[in-house]
Amino acid sequence: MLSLKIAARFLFSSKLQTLLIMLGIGVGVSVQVFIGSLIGGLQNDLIDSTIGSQSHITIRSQMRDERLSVSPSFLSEVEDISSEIRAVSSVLEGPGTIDNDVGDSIFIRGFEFERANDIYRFDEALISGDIPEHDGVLIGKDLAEMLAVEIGEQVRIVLPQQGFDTFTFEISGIFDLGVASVNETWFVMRLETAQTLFDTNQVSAVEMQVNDVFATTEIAERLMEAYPDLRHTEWQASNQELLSGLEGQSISSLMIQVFVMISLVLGIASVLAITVLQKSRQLGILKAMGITDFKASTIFLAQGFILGVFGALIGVGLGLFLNVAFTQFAVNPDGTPVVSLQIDPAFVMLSALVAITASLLASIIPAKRSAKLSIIEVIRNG
Amino acid sequence: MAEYALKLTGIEKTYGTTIKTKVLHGIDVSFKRHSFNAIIGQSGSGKSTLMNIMGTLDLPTSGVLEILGTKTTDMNKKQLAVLRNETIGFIFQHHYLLPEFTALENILMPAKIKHGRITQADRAYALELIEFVGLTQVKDNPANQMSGGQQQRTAIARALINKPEIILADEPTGALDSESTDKVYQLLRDINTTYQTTFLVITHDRKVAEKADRIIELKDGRIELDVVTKSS
Repeated sequence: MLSLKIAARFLFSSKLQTLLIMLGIGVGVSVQVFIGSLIGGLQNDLIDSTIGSQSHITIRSQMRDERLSVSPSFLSEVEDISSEIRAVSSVLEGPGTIDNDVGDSIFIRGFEFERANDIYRFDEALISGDIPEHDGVLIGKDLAEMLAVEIGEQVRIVLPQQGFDTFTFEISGIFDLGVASVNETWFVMRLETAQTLFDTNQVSAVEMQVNDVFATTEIAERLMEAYPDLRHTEWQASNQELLSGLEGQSISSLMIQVFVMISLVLGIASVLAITVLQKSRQLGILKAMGITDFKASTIFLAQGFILGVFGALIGVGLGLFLNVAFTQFAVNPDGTPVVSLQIDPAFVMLSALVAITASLLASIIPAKRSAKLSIIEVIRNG
Repeated sequence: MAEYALKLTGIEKTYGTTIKTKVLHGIDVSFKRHSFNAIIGQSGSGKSTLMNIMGTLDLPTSGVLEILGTKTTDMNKKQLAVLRNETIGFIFQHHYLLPEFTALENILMPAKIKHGRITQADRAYALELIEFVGLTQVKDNPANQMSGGQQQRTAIARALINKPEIILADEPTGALDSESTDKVYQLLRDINTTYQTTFLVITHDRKVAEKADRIIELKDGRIELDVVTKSS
């Protein structure tokens, strides 16, 4: 307590210097908080736009092209395997071509829309039209452009697997799922429609989404325990670039933060080293009065602590302000922020703690110097 | 209880490693408890060095120092710090107050170092001392906003707060005018009578020294003269 009081007095006696160091720490912490939240938000946006409308784990039959028989209760059974599983939906899929001169390839997918919407959000992705209630189909905006068709018009397709029979569907909606290959090839219909089309009552796969996209492996293992006859694929298998991109971003963000912290430590250490010189007279007096070397050194640790705490508070305030300002000023033409920032209280706390620890670390050298300071030198030169 | 407040046996001090300068040559001297002693000598005679060694601020090159019968030779830095805090009060020429604290806080600092906090008794005693040294009016002034004489009296009160057995004063009036000098010496004598504190005062002022019970003169690191003026 004595050290803390003396430290506080020392800091208070040179207000400008103290304020400058605190601001220095504050700016460092605010950069930390801002960059961290920015990268966090950026990654979330990226994950969301890339795999937000994809299956995270897909289970299929071990045999290629063999379909699964799915009882009505199966999907809820899968859902119960882990509370992390957010959505489960079955799909029946198969290849086809448009019956035109070019013979554009399409990928026919039959869904139960009530369930599939939890994964693909067709309801939000529709640009025009509605989810089909009967035998209509949804096509992507790119396919619609290629075929120059609109809602209500008919499209004829050929199924190579069904003896090149042709079938005609009415377009009930056009969607934009944000991925060109999907927008160009998907030919989406109700599961029942697809089952009639392919003349089956089975499905091709069961798709699901989970809450934490980086926890798929563990969930997949549990699925495989429950259904050893099935095989699974995780989203990572088809998204290697995304993964390495995310990793690169995380590393660069970490690097920035580490260097900010290093410069912070150096700054605090050098300023505190100077204060040891400034206060050497006072330290000499205190030591003559019987303060132990250890106590004397804790004065500087306490200074580091006080500077760290107040610097961190300033930094968190400034960082949050920057975040808010960023979402206010860096906006898309439609008014939504360019990057939706994600402020994670745990991360903000961590940044503050790191700054306090860094300040304490930085005060170790001056603390050691103060312990070594000889009284006699101060008194002789005083 | 030991008869002597301080007992020095064969104290030598050499400075430097390559070029050695011997400052003290085998000092043997003892100071009785409750006595008021003056140490005089020209500058460079070694009196400040002797004082620093007696106050455990500096270590002798050889020789034994006993404080209240306890040898300090084998004590570590921490034990010495505690010993200084509890048994010795220092008064320096340049008062050496902490400018960041008020007069009262400066006076209480040794007590705070001793107990870790300020007790009611400490505070009461500090106020008594402030009254005694005549600083009641300025007790809440920051240390650097007082006159030289007030600062020196603050330093004296601070030296007394832990009721030390010994007070070491190095030219306590060196920076003061003659009127303040007389006041401060009268104060030190009063303290000596009232609190039975042993005093060792370094001075170059013979007039001041003559008021002491005993005068020791140092010359070139040796005791040149040892006169008892009053038996105590």
